[in-house]
Amino acid sequence: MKKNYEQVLKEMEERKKEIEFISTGFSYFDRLLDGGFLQKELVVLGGLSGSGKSYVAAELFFKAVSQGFKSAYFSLEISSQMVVSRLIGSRSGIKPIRIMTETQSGEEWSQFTTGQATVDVYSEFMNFYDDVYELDEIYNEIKKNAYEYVVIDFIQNVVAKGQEYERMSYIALELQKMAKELNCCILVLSQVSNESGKTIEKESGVLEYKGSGSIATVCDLGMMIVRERTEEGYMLDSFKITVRKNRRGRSGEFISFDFIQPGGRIEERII
Amino acid sequence: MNRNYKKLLALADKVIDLLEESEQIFLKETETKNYDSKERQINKKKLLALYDEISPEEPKKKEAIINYEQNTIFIKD
Repeated sequence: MKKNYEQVLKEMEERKKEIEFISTGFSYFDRLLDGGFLQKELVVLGGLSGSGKSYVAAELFFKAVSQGFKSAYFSLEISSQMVVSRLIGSRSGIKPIRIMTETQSGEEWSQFTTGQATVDVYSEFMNFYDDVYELDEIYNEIKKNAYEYVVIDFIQNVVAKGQEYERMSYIALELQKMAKELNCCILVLSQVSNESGKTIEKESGVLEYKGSGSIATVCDLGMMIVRERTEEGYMLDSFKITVRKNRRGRSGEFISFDFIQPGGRIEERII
Repeated sequence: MNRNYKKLLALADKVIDLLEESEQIFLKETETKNYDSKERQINKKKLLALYDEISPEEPKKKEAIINYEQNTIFIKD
């Protein structure tokens, strides 16, 4: 559809009214993104298995709900109980698995209830799914409930027609359209391609998510998470997130974070 | 409507829900003569966390308000 200059300006005015920054809750991260994520954006966070993608996604999800954004967490891998246990664990300093299995000690009861109460404040804005895999069903849920912030953990597990390459290309494009049409920000987690995995340590290495090059092509923000390791290869409780693609600003920069154990709270490292 | 205002409205609704829950806890406690049940402690923590978000008042003052609300809800009725 052809639009003239005035029409585009008018659309920009309209867009201003409905678009808001969703703070990541981390000051340096927000600064790098000029304020945070935006509605209508498709954000992809990729990383190797065990790098902490889901922990980061859960934390970003909680930061969004604590700003009053109606949000949904579609977990296509771990259960919703595990996601909630991680949210409470992060705020209570108790290992999420112990919260989930209710094996926390008597002494930890007070810590646990304080953490639970902190999460409970925003219950109105939080919604969880762990049995929805079909792309169409995800679309319907977002539309029906008018979610403003959505996490999909993770894209390779989304079900749609076609072989892997076509399927991933189709899903990536549909998610981008979904974010725009439904006025929400969609944060998608992704595994990385073998090629990208080799250069993942580099801030400007290959940006390629597993399954299709389209995921990197269509996203508005493309990020990679890299877990830090000792020289011997042991995983450390620290990681960095590199912004590899940023349609509205700079890319190639990174922020460092630490996992504070035992609860798994995430803290931005101030350099 | 402003995002923060919408959020505060939702949180205020939640305060009302929790105070209603306090009523039920109070009834249960009266029956069992256990006036410091785990339910009450959890209810209080949830209220405290909510008040922390809604109002920047002193923690002790907030706790006093919650104690007052939890204990006098029937008297007010």
